[in-house]
Amino acid sequence: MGWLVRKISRAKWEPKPEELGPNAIQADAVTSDLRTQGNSLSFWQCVDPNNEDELREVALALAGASERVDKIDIAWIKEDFLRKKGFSIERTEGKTQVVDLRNKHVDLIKLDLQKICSLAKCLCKSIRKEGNFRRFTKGEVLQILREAAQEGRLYVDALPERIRAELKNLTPASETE
Amino acid sequence: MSITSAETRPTVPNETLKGWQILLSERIRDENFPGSGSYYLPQKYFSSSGSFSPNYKDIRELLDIFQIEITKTKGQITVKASELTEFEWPTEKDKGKPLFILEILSAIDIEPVEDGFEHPAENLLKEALLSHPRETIDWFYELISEENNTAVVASILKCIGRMEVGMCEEWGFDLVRKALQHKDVEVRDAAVQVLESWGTEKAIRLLKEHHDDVSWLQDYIDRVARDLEQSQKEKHGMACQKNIQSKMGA
Repeated sequence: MGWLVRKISRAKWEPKPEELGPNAIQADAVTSDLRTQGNSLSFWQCVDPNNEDELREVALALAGASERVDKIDIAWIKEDFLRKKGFSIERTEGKTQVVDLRNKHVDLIKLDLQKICSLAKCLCKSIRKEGNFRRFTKGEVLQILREAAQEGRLYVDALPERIRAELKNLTPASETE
Repeated sequence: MSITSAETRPTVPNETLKGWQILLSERIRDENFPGSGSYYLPQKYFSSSGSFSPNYKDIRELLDIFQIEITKTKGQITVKASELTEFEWPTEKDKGKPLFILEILSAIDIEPVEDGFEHPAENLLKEALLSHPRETIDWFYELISEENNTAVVASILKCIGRMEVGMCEEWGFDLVRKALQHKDVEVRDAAVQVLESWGTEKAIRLLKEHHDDVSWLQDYIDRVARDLEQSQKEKHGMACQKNIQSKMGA
């Protein structure tokens, strides 16, 4: 049992004391970062978020599911804690070009308004109080993708054109030829 | 602006009809339309609960159905559903804004700009800059200084950052400098992202000049500046290497 990691937008979880009060969670955080599909939310599994390599794996999975390279914000929450709170978790195949990471994916399922509200509170506490988030710069994301491609974990030709172009710009000519 | 007569107006298939009507506002009718109309509205514009909540795209599509030349529309279009409250487009806040701006705002309204994913507003923004450069740039500045919806400002900034730096060089850095002073952290964060994306020496300078009170944002700024400096060094190194190789070859 480990942690569940989700892509977020860090700024959305920042308090807005003047507008909403000191500790309020912005509704925008919920509607943008906790936007459900079929009453489910996608998470990636991680055993130890203190291990940078593991967080990089999550970033790779997310970048491998993207259309373009941008910074990536992730936040994590203890899986056990969510189970105790009554959340249902289902193992599902992750939608990423990195095949060996697809089995590290779960969905939080059967989410209703109360559960989303509870999840938002847990995630907010995790981000604001416990500092359980990590931002990967665009440069870091590119580096992660490049390494995965070099290790043969990522088939570059299957990536969207924009990402391929960015990788090509990054990689010295001798390596791409 | 024109609308075809009732006889020649294209027929909306019966199976898509629901018992609602679309009425063109008095103003539009008086000014521009020879006929008046009450037209049935296709079911697809209604949610499953039956509420009528068209977005700009819907309105545009509706206007297409009724063969109105949207490029000539000015001012307000009022759509009335006979059993519902009046829906107005543009909203009070957006009245007077040019259509191309409304189109961009509507695209962002439908779907927020998300990191890692392309967004329809990117192309709309490019088109706006090509067709109405002055108006579009002025609007960017207006957004930074006056718009209360900071999520919209951040989204527009992200789209600007996705354009080639050459397209925005003259005004872009000044705009981003202003955005970095914004009171809202989401806007400042988006401004940093623009600089990260453009990645030029000027971008590095701006990043280094800025000091943010929010620690995670300052950490991001420091790391982006380092990334970009490193990348500039690598590019410079590669250019030198190529230069040496070509000289040796010669």
